[in-house]
Amino acid sequence: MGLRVPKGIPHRRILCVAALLALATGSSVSFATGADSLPQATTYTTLPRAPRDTAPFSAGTGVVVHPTAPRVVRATPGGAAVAVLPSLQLGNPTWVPVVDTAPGWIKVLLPSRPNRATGWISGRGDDLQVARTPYLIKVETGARRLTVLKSGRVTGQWTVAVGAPGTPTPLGRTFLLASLSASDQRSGSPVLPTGAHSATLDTYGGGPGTVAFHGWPRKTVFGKAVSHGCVRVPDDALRALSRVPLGTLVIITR
Amino acid sequence: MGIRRNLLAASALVVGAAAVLVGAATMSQAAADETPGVPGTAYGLSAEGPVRIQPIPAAVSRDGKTVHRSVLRPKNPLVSASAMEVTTNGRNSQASAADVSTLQRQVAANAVSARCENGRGVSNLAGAVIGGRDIDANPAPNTTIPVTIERVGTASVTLNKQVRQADGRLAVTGLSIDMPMSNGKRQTIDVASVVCGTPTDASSTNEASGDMEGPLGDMDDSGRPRETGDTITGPTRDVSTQVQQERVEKQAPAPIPAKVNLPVAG
Repeated sequence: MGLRVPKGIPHRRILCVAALLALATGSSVSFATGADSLPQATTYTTLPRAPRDTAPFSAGTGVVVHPTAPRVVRATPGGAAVAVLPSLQLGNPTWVPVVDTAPGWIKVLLPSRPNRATGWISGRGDDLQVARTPYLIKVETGARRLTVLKSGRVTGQWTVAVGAPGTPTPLGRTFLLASLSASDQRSGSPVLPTGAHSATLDTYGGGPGTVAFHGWPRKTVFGKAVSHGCVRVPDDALRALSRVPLGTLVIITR
Repeated sequence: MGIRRNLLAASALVVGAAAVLVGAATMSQAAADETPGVPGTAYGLSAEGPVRIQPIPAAVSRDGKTVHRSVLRPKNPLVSASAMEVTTNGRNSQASAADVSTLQRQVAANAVSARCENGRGVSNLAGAVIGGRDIDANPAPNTTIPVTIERVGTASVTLNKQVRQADGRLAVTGLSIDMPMSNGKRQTIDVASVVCGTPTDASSTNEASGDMEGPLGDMDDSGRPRETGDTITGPTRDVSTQVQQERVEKQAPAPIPAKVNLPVAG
């Protein structure tokens, strides 16, 4: 759509902070997130060994968790490590939805490629905040409809724009990953990235092809399948979505 | 804003401009000693968070034989100390540090020690002054004192910290500092730590051993090397049980927009 310019700023900022902190504190120290042999579970990474979501259209548990320190992500409860889930995502605290449990372990959705990536993290320890979100977000691509539910009741419904036939909005279950302020987006609109990615665009505008909710300056797009995978929503829908806790499930159906 | 706060916090924690490399030999020795499931360990100094320090010096007894390690002046960017000594034979462990100072000298003690005596934890702080207050030499377990660090925040300083681990052993730390950083991160510093007793939960120990042998080295699933339990007075926290029994009641917070640019799929 040509509104956003590749910048790669998040990576540069992280590297910059790491370098400065290392200078300030002595280069001998290591970072808790410095698990060199495991990828971080972020919107920028691909986790080929992460298991796929086995119930991609289910409403889940309503529980979200926030690791305040990095957590190892495993393919099965206590099984092989496949990634590290950091405590921050795009400047926001990491909140991921819990979709299954086993004794001592919880299965969460991940923000990385491939779509529907999941993983198991330990449910034990003090470095894990747990909370409940009463919200559920539904996107019906065929009807071009966005629905926000709270405690099972519809609180808002809007006609939106979804992915064009060649760049469809990916179907399945994902979650609200972050909230990015309007002033920091090239479009001037707040952006609410999800954990999903375009299945047809490996990169877009210099980013990793993250699917997001965002506004659009012309109302004529709403009701059409014209985007590169994102869901373009009216301003009042964006305001409503901006109040929904991170980690809340987004279920995208045909 | 967050970056600036992190740097301020880091600067506040740094004790000297001459921070140099922690001895590689000492660190590798500590790693080699960390056999999972052993009954006795003793550490002089360790830290978790944006600045991470692997235990130095570190003593671990595999077979009941006495292991002793010492470092005259542990070179690190967080804590000034001298003559750190750690000893363990499995049943009894002891860790001590002299001339301890950190957090812009708001936390200082002539000596800090922790030891296990037949499964019991004991800490001693000689000449301790924290936030301008003189501290009793034998504080009760888990005595916590808030200390405000200018332009950074309020650190939580716990004396004689005693935490029951998931495997049933008791971790005792003479001086433990928890400093909240921006974006929910924390910096922790532990001085004089020992682990007492024998494991009572084999599954917990095995779980930890898998992490030790895995690609993350000494980091476990909760992002910390050994502290996976709750306090000595509370039950072990398990989120999976809370979810299964639908006991999660706390409402998730509304998001706060971050100043980050992400080119998305339009």
